[in-house]
Amino acid sequence: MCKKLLVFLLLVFGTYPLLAQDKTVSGTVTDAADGSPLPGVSIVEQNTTNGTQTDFDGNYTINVSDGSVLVFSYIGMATQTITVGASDTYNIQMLEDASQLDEVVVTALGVKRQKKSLTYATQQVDTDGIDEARPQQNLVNSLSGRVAGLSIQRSGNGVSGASKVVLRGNRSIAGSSQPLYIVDGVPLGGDISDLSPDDIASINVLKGANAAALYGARANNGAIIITTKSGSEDRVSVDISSTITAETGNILFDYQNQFGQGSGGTYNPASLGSWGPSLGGGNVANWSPDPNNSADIPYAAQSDNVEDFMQTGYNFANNISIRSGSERNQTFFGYTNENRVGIVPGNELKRHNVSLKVDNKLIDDKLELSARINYIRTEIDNQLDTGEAFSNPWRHAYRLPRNIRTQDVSVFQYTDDGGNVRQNYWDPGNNGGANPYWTINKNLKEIVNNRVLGYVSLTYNFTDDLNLLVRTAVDQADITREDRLHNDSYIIADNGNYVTRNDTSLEWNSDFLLSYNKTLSEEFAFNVSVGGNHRQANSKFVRTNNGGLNAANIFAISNAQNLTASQDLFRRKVNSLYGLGQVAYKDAVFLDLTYRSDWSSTLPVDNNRFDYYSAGISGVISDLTTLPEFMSYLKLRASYAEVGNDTAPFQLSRIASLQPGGFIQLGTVLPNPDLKPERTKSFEFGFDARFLESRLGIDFTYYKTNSIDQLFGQQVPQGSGVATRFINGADIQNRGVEVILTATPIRTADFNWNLTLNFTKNDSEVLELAEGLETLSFGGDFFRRFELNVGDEWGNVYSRGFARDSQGRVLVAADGTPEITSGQEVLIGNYNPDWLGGINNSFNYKNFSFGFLIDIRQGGTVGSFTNAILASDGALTKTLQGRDGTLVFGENIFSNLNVVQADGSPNNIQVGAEAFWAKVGGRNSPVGEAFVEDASNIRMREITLGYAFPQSLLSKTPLRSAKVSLVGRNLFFISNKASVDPEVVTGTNTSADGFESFAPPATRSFGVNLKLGF
Amino acid sequence: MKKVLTKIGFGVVMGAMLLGCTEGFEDLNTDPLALDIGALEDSQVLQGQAFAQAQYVSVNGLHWRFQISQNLFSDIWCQYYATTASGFDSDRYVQVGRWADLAWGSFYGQAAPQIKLVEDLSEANGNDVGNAMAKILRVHAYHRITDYWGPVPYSAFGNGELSVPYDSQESMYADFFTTLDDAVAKLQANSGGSSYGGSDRMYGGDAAKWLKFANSLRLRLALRIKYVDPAKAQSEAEKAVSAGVIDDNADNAFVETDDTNRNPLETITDWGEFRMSATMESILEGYGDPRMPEYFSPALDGDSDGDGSDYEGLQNGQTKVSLETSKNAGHSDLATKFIDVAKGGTNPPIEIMNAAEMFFLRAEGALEGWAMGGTAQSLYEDGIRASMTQKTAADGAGIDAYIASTSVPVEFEAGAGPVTDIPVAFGADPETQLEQIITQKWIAIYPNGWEAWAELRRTGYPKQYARIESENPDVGVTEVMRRMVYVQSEFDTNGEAIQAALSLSEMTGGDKNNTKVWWDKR
Repeated sequence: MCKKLLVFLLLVFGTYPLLAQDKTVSGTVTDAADGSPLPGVSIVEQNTTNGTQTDFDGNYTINVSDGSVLVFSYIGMATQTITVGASDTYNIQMLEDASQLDEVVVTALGVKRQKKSLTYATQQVDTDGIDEARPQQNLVNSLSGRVAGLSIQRSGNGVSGASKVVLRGNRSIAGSSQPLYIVDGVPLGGDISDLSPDDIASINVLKGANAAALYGARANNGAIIITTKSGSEDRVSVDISSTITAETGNILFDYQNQFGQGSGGTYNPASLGSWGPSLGGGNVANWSPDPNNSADIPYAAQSDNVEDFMQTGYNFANNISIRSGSERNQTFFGYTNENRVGIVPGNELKRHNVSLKVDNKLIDDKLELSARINYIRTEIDNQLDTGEAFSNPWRHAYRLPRNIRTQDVSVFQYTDDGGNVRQNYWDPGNNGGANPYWTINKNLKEIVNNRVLGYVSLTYNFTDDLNLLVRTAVDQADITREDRLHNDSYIIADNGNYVTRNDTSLEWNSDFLLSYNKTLSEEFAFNVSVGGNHRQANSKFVRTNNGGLNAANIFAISNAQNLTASQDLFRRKVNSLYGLGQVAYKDAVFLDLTYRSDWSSTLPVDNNRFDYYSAGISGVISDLTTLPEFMSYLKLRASYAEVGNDTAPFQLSRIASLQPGGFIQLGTVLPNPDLKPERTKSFEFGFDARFLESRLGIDFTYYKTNSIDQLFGQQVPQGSGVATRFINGADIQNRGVEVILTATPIRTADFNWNLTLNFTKNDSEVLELAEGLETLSFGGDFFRRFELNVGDEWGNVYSRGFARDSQGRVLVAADGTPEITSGQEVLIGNYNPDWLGGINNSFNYKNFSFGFLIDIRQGGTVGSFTNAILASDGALTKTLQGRDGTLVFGENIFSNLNVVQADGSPNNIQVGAEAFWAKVGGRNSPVGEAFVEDASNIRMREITLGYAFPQSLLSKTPLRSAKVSLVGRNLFFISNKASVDPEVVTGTNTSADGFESFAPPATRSFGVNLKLGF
Repeated sequence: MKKVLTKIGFGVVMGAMLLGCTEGFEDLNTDPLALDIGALEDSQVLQGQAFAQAQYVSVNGLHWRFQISQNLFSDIWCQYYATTASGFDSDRYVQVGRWADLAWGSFYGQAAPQIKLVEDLSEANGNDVGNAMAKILRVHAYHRITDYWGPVPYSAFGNGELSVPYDSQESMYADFFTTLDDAVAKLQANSGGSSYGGSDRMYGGDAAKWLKFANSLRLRLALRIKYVDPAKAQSEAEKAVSAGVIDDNADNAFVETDDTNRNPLETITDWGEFRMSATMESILEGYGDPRMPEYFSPALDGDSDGDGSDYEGLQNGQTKVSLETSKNAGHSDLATKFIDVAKGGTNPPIEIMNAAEMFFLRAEGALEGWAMGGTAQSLYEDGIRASMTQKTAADGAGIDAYIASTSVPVEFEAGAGPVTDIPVAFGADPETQLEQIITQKWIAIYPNGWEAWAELRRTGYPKQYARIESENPDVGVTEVMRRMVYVQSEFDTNGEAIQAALSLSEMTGGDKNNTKVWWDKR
């Protein structure tokens, strides 16, 4: 942390006057957050020059006069005062001061800057707790609710998987709207899901193109900047951290428990639906096809049969970090081991994460060498497939008929008369049905991910003002996946199947940066840097699919029935040159300029360069003029940036693909040899104001971004000879405000309360698509499609709806069921939230700390495919009504609708629930209008309760610090309008939002973390 | 300081030189795993491979494309099969938009550009035989598409514009005949020639066989326009027959399959979504037809209706609710040869035309008094013989007995009554004869539902059981779907052209499932 650096400076430059005193007091100063001793804390007797500092174990001794006041101060911490009384010992806990103004933050290219000089919005994330309340799935989920302008949606992959992270709204039609991740100044090829939270020193979020312009093409969505921990300068410290958390699922669907398998009120043991007779009536025929299991079984409600499918998951994470070093050489070593077991049996993750970082100063401190290597191996068993995938166990678990007993269904296999192992299921061979226990035991998926991240950088300080940085960094990943599907997995693997996949990717950046700083006069200073970057990104995908097995359940490629193999390759190089400069006036007014040119291999050779720039200004008004006393700080800032982007490789000429068997298929996309780079124009302004000695603060940002000239495939009449043509077009605008309120309502020596409120409101609008193009439709499936409409908000979702007459009245068919539109032509909602909010509280009382984070998502819709299917299955409570044939559409069901018959007379036709829901729900043509819900929710994202053992106890042990914390994540919904968790999506692509399809249940986790420092 | 500046200057210049360098970018941005289409221009071998793809995709060889193009529409509407998946609305006469869109895209997005590519390349290369093959392929592919939809993009296909006009079906059929003239002339001029070799999965590139196929296609199209343009129909039919149509099963137009490019039924039968129709049961069972076991399997549950046969057909148009209870075990799946290779399937070739069809077409022409090289009865009986020889191991005596049989269709379940009352033995009045010819053709061209649905619409035969339910207000349970309505993606991207198409005189019925296409005049 920068703390240590500052300590060093203070040690060097600090002064130590010694005067005769009356009394010697001593004690230990510790960090309230983790109980670790704080070295270098300045202790001054008020109104004197008498003072001292704590040593590396946080201990201090000072001679003072009785009744004097001691002032404890430390960079980044709130200053504390005590009055010396009778005692000789004063142990002090320092609290982080959220309102610190001269905070140093890491900005683009790894450049450290004073926060007050920034001309754009960034938000430093408090990383103190992230290694305690570890998110079960993905590190980035820790940021949810903590950062204004940031939206996070989780994928339904279980204990592993990507999250969809969006800053300031969706903007890219064909590409990604997700930010760039930067570790130690260099971009990653992938995300940060497998990084160890124990290695992270700081996270800074650059919210828009303004901040990230120097990162070029990929920065139009903002960037998340991570700095890893370094070694320490003067001692060896060992930190051990252990976390164990338990995780449980929470089924939100509203199941009925009155009727079981069958149809029309008649029991049928082969039925997938629950339209049979009333439950509780003795025994019925056994559904099992097992010839040795034909005894009748009870026909009774199994209200917990879906919940029984889950187990309690856990996450057991251990970390050891060793820091050592001297003034010239520092080393950080970290090893993290994680074992996660999901709520679905068999869904597990094991991860080893080793990192080593060294920092050296050579040649009279002129040369600085820094290097880090991080190896991460992740083994994932049975990552959950999402959505409608037949191997997604939730597809089958949610659909359990209401009479199926856990004890029966959990026996997922039997041996038939021929000695073959068969699936034990009520409708053998069903296309789309399966015993969920079979799926988790017989559809096995194994993923091994090896990733290496590393960099080496050399900085040469020619003079104090001039230095040159040269750096190279790689992010290489190798992922293998093997799917082993056993025989009798209906449709997907009747005789078993074996699918393999190997993805390799490399992101390799080499850069240099020459920087010059100069203070010209008392008033003016400037710095200027020029640099360049060479980026190479390659990825390769090889897949094989046995197309069935000859010998059942021998999972070898040579055992293929109809082997297919495919291969994909992407590669690009981007060369860049850039410059940045800043002029400071009186250390209070700052003018920032950046300029960058990129040459990309994916663009036409004669038009492959694109330039962009940013300009910003900030002024710390409180340093320039005298403000009213209650106002301790005021800064204004404004900036403008333009960022370009290239396109995917191989988009310039039409290709034909080689098909197995000696066939050649012409590509269906008409390339555009004249394409231009995409551009995002971004403007923002804001202010940062602090009041009442910075105990109250507001940070406000207004932004507007326009993403224009986007490259996307425009659907054209297929008779033109191509299905899509690649065009430059569109103007997607995002406007919004971000507000961060900070407050310290209580601040005493023993008790502190800090409060941070985040608020984000983003409005996105499709201003333009392309000439003559008013709508763009993509991401269609059985339930819905996703459309951009010019003049409308991004994120419109269309589905089938109830058919209406010219007067807008809903029509009923002659049989009493609703008339349904033939196509997905009805706008059923928009998935964008109206606003997002977070409330983060932290309390410190003596050695105790307590915090909670509330995450709010207001507005937006979610369509639930699962509900549509469960409704037609008769599994939901709402299907209980009208089983006797007494539903009247528009009267006692969907009574908010004005329903008429074809002749215009009010509907009075009675219909049975089974026929009604068969028409409205189901898989192939569900009426999305009936299954769309308000996605608003408020959840208790995180609660932590910590206790740091006092130094008085630890001083007799080898321990330097010890802390124990109780942590809980996603503990409960304070409110949730939908019957699903709207945060869980099927994937991270643009069209996955606002859609639920057999997603895993909402989960909560709670656990304990123990941290020991030696 | 000077030294420092020199060093820095050197470093920056080096860096800038390195980074300004974009040499090799063009190669880097070329996908080494694909072909640039320019590479096809000079290579007969690669053109052959492109032809192979055109041939396979134009008959929807890939399983899911076959399902959404043919199996869920024409196969169901001609009542070869009935659907057992509750969510499959097309058996209740709902043209599911998403499937139709994919069907349209399978043709216009995949097959049509491929056919045009091959036709253009063979033309540019002066490969007359290859060009003739591509033209015949084009006529075959587009006649299926216009038979589905009516007016469709044809002459302007590949115009590269944002609007692609539709051709009337009338003008397309006119062009089909002249295109076939052109192809025939090229093949006759290159008698004994060949092109594309083994990449032609139908005839190995044999010009003589393609000539016969061209004539046969002409005969099929001629009969198609019999009711709308009888004179043209007669002249084209007689032209075809005199030039020589397929009359030997050895010349059947079948696209061979292999392990990679399979018969789509091999895969989709595994999905368990359709079973033999009630109409099929009524007719085949009534005739004691030896093709029954070649086409279908006994129901797993055996003789559930107690009619003495294990072959059970399912009535079309089952309600969603009734299908919630699986109908698969109680009804006949396809015969083993069509199913998954792992379960004993043989991955048979994809049939697009056979000798039997030609005999039945000629029989129908003879019924009109056209010069078809035989009497209606003799050609009808030759058609049955050709089909029996092709599809079964029946011997001459067995076939003769079948031809002479006076058995009539039976009811598929108690109380349903037989679907029709015609026997196999050739009848006396022309209408009965027509029904017999078309009914036998319906059996003989199985599983080519695409052709069977067209002929059902044209002639009204074979007679069908009413569907249990129709969810389509335009088409009742006793009626026949007459065409496909246009797809959403075309309304989205090519709306003006659709509006123009709907103003054609042949489209006065509007864009509905009960609007008859141009040739549908009976």
